[in-house]
Amino acid sequence: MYLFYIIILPLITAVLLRWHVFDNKKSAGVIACCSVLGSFVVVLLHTRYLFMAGDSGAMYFEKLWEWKILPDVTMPFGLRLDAISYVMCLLVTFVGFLIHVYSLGYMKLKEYSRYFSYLNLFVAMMLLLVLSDQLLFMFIGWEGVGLSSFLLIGFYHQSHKNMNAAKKAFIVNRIGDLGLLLAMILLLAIYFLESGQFSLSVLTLETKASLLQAPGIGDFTLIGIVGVLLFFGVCGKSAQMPLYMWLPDAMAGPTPVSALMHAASMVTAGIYLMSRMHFIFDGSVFVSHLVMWVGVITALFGSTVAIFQRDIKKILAFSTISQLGYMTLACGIGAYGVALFHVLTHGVFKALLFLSAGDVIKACKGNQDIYLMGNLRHKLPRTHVMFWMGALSLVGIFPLAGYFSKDLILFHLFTNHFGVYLLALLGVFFTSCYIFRLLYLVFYGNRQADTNQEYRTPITMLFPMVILSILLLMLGWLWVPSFLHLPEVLPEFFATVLPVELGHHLVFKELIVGLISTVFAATGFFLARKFFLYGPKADFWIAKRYPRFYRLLSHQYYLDELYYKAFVFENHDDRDPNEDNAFTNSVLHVVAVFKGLIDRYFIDGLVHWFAWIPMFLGSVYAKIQNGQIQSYLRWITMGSLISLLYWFLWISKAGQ
Amino acid sequence: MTFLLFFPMLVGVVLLMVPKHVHNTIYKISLGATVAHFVILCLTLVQIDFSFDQWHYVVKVPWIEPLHIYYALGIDGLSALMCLLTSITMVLAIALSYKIKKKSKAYFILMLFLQTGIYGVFLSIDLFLFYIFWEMALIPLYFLIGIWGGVRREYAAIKFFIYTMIGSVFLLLSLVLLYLLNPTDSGILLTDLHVHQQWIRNFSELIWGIPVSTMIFLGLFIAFAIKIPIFPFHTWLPDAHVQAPTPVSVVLAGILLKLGMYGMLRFTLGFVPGEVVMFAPVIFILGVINLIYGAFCAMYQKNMKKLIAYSSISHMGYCIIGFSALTFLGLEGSIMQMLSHGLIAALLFIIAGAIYERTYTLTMSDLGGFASQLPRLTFVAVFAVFAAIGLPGLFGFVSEFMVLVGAFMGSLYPSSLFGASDTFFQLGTSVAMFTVLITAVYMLWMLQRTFFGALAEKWTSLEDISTFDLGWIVLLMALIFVFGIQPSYLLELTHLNVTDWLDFVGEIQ
Repeated sequence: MYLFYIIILPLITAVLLRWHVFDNKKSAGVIACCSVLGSFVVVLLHTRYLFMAGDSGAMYFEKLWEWKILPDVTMPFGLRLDAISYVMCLLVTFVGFLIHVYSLGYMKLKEYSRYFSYLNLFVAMMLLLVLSDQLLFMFIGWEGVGLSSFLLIGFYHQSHKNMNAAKKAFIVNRIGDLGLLLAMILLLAIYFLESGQFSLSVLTLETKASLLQAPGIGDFTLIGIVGVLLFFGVCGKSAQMPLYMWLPDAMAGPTPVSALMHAASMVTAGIYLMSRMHFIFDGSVFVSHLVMWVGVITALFGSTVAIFQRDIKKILAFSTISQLGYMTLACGIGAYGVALFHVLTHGVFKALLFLSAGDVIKACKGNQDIYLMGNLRHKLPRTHVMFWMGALSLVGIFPLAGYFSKDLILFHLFTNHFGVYLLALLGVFFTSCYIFRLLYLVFYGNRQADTNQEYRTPITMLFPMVILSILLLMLGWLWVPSFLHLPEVLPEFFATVLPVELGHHLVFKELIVGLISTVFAATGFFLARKFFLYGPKADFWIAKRYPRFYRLLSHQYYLDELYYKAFVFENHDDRDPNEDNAFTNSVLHVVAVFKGLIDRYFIDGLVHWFAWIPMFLGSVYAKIQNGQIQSYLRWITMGSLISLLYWFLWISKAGQ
Repeated sequence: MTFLLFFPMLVGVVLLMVPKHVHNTIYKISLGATVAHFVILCLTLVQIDFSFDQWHYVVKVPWIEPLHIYYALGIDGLSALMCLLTSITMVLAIALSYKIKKKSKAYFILMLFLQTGIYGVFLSIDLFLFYIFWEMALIPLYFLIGIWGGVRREYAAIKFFIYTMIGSVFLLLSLVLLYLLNPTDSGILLTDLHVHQQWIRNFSELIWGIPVSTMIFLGLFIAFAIKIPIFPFHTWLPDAHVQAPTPVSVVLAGILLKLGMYGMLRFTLGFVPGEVVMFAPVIFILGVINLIYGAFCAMYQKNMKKLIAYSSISHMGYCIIGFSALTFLGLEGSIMQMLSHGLIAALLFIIAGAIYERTYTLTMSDLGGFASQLPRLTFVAVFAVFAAIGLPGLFGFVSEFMVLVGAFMGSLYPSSLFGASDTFFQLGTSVAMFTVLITAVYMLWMLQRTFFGALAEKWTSLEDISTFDLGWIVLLMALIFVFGIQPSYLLELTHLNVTDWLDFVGEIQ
């Protein structure tokens, strides 16, 4: 009934905060928190609609308005709450609320209004994204989160480095959005021609998905083309392989922002889109395989690159890329429910890891280099424990949430794609390596970090972390392996919307898969413990012994440099974009300069040349127009004589 | 209708009698007049039901009998929208002109005359009357740029004037042809387009080996192409925009460019739809060039106002491709793009003007870091930039999306120059879509260079925009936002026009 309020609450707060209605007082932050909590409550209030048995299934729809596009055709905009949007809403509002609370302690008071306004805008847009019933409406949220991401990455706007990162994030997302936009246009065009209806509503698309089987261009079916285009959009938002490079740079924003947007919710929008539009991705074998391979490559890429990074937030960013790869992989093999489950658990444990990292950074006076940290377990004992929880969950150790979701993905791979399964296992091993390296370098050893002696974690920052840790213990039991014979809450819930396999009782296989992944994770753990317990010496050793290998990984396989060389993003240093040479290394800019010069000299030159003709004529003419009556008379006389002559000689003759 | 048309001019005449040193009174009178005019327009429009019967409030008085020229006015959905846009832009332009002290009396009188000229273009339904108003709008603009402009104002004014004059010559050529060859007894009015299409199509004689209808098309097309501007005819625009004072830039970008597109839709498509179908692929390619070429040129610019001017060229490309596809959505999107670009470009120029009047420079390497010093202006600028980029939920996206979908669904008719083709528009639109990306690149780069980064020492004493200015700007922003969420009110007004045009095209086949 009041689905609209879920979005409007944070949105209105965002507007009010931006206009400094509450000033930069404590109350501003509290109101922002309350609005998100309010949304959370409204979502909960709608629970009963989902479980009311009805013919239409567990779905609740609310129409908002429509565009009168053609005289007799309208395009409706509506909100839709079903299993997957419900779960996403809970994740966004609840984790969002916790991170709002955390920000109360993390941010400075004078930044409150602007910061919370942007954060609330983000929550509103993300909710719009997951609740909207049709693609065009979803696109508003999709770009809206991009906007708030731009604003928040560039929150400290005095530094061009941050602004470059913000710009890069938006533009790379925009590249992906081109695909999404074209997919929408294609879908609209196809349906309009087929049925005369103008709709991108998910339901209508689903019922008509069979239409898309029509032959397309060349070897591709239409559904395949749409699938690839949509997936391109997903790659942008969810930082998949060709378009991942904005996410590590996005860490320029405040840490709670990284936790909420660049780990827990915004980047999972792509996974959500794939689940929402699963009928398109299922419709083409090519697309499914593409999704699977991109996913597994991204997972491996992220986890290997993370191993030799020095920046604590960058490591977590690459970890996010890698985990997103696992989710994409799950979508590629058709296990959408599992992917969403991993979105949920990953949202919780990655948020926890980021929040702990934020605490560490704050204690180290804003330093983010892990080589300069160490032995922080005495300084931040509680954060230390929480980081352990997050790390164990990330690598997938039994009672924690990460185990359940990652194990499910691996299990599905094990039964269907054994080769990919082995690659994914390798990823688990690398994951374990980098996260425990991070953990040991930061919290152990006997090096003394340069810390702020006064610093104690404020209660507002501790509280969300504790809640997230407790959630980690409980969340996994929503989707337990079937051999435990417990009620399968989440899968049954998802089954109302998605194709989910239920109750496959393959006890032996499940146990084996779980054991193998735990063994891989443990190997990584012991390796990391052996090498990094007392400091980063192992890094230096590898850098010295295998310099090429080390540089390849620490430079992200040189992909970013490649993009940098090829395109427009000047991201690597603090180059002032006002300097002319900051832009020279880019193809786009070369084209721009070229065209600019064409415009200035060639086209305008032509214009001036054309202008010169009348000017020349004018100058001749001006000599005639010298203002003397006598000369005018002379010209008049001459003119009349000539015309008279002409008349006598030619016209009169012709008349005869 | 006549009152609506001549009201601003009347006020201008009244202003002539006001002593010239009372700046404030003159400002208040002209602002009051434009606001009152806007209110009258709204009251008129509310009474009209645009869903049936195209023309309303038609006035038709014989004027020059032997040539069948009438003094004929009327309003329909399209002109209503354009009048609304004109009024909104003029109100803003005049409201933000209070800083103009140099010969302020003449300035405001010219602005009011300009408004009547533009209104005349949109309201006249007689071709000759249209031409007269078309020229009338030109003259005040020449003086406005030439007297109140920037450093190179005379060059810009002359260039602008000559360019548009050349356009007018072509327009006049077509007009003369139409009036000379008109075999019917009626005037050349927009109300009986069908009759005129008929005889133009059946006119078999050639002039210089070219069919008359093609001749008319070329004349009209070039005339309007210069005004829009379409690719090779565009170089007047950056100069005129950069040199013009802020309120005049607002008018130029907000309405003047739309005169061309209005003419293109109304007259080119109205009189010679067959030729439009024929040349559709060429127009489309020119439109795509406009989009991408304009965007790349914008990227190269170092002057903020020039960048915005080139972005205008790029954005007008959407109008052109929407027009050339000749689909319902394309045409409708083209009209929407005129409106959205009018509002958004006006906002961008207001921002550039606000910066100029504080710093007296628009070279972006001299600017930077205003975010901490001018938070209000920064907020507006971020909004405007994202509106120009086409952020969904704002007006710019609605029109761009409609144009792209419309263009994508278009197909070449057999009678087009390239023959029938289904994939031409699909491929072309896919190429054109890259503009969406390039726009983001240059717009964000502009934003960064002017508003972000470290603030230079010399700018630490700048003052933020006043609440009075902000009020007007927020009104504009609200419009951009509301129409981005719900454009139906505007769309409904255009349905009848677009149906008509598609009928014309349908009859050809």
